[in-house]
Amino acid sequence: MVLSFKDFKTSAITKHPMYAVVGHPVSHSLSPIMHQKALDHYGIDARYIALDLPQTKLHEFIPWCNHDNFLGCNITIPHKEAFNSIVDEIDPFAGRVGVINTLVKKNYKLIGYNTDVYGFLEPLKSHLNNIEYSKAIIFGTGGASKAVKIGLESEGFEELFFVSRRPNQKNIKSKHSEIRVLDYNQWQSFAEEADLFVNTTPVGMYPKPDKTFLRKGEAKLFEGKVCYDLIYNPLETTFLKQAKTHGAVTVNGLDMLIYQGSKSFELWTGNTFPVDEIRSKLINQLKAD
Amino acid sequence: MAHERIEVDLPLAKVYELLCNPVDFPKFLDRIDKVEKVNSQTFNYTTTIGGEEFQWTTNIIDNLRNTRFAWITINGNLNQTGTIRFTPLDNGERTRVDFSLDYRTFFGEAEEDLANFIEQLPAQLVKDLQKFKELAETDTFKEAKIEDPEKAESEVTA
Repeated sequence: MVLSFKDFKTSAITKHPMYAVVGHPVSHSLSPIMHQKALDHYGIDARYIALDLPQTKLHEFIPWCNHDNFLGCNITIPHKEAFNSIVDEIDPFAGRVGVINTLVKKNYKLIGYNTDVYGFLEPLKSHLNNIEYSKAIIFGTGGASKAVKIGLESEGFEELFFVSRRPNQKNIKSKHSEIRVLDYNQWQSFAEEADLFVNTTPVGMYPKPDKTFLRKGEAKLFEGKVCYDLIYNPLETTFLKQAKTHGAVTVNGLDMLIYQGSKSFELWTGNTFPVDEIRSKLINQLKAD
Repeated sequence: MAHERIEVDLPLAKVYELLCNPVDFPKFLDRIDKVEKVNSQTFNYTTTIGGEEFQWTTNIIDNLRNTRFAWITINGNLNQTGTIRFTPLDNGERTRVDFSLDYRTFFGEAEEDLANFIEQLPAQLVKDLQKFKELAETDTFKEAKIEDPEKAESEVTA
């Protein structure tokens, strides 16, 4: 269920225990499907809605979080960084990431957490044993890349190469790894020594699934490597298709979506997602779309 | 720690405006004699308990418009902390106020009069917030006078 803030304020749903995903736009979000499935699975009497909240309405929304029936929310684009100055407390790990994606309510207090890093790492863990050089190339320097950076550093990656359209304007610092920011003509020179390639950009996402940042012939650089795309719609982007064709191990963004949601759900309810049930429900949903 | 909840028949922004200035607290917090503003974040409080004067200085530690207002004591001979949370009701036309207030000593146990003062806090907060509601809803909060306890005492003595 997607509600505008205006409809939310007058909706009877505020009379009922509820969770939400808050963003703008938010109609594409799969969070309501997977969280409602999990709530129903555990017999928890609560609803999960998508709330379409433009940035101009953010401060009007915050007092509504004080409602007893408001139990917590996920936060998505464009609000992830704005909530840093709004919550009562920030979990230390989320503070390090600099981005909040989950609000938990404890004794009236709103506490900000980040579950994106956990969600990013879970699907990758089974592949990390094959990593030899501890170097990764990350396409994109936006909000999603922050969680990727922290996650890879926590797994001991020593060198991270970020690829940006405007590398001169990006100043990414770290005490835990060596960082270099490259442009799209430079990363190829570092590909051989990298084990992992991660796409954090929206290039190739529905409704433009044929788009890719790769040029002809570049996909052969992925042979024997791990290629991870944070995009889950389509399940196999052009980047992953080409990488797979050239012998790469590929990971799509669906499990990251599921595991970050599962961690949020665990923070709220103490239970984790029934992952297999939710994965098949989401795949069916994506196929139907 | 005392916690009390009331609903006020006024919009959120109006209720927040009335409650975010500690200088006005003595208008409804019956047992605080005076609050003086030091700067936008810092306030000096004075009250008399069992003939002894208590003074303390607070800092606002959280002030999120229309959402919450909180302070702690940074100096003095009584340690007060408070949090006020504002929740819109009925599409924002009415407002729920959650008021938490705590008093304790900085060192050791409270002596008899202060101990009584602290013990009576929950019951007192109920009365105080009822007074706030009446002043706010009758639109008389701004004009409400803060009684000067010294003046009142001298009048009684005379």
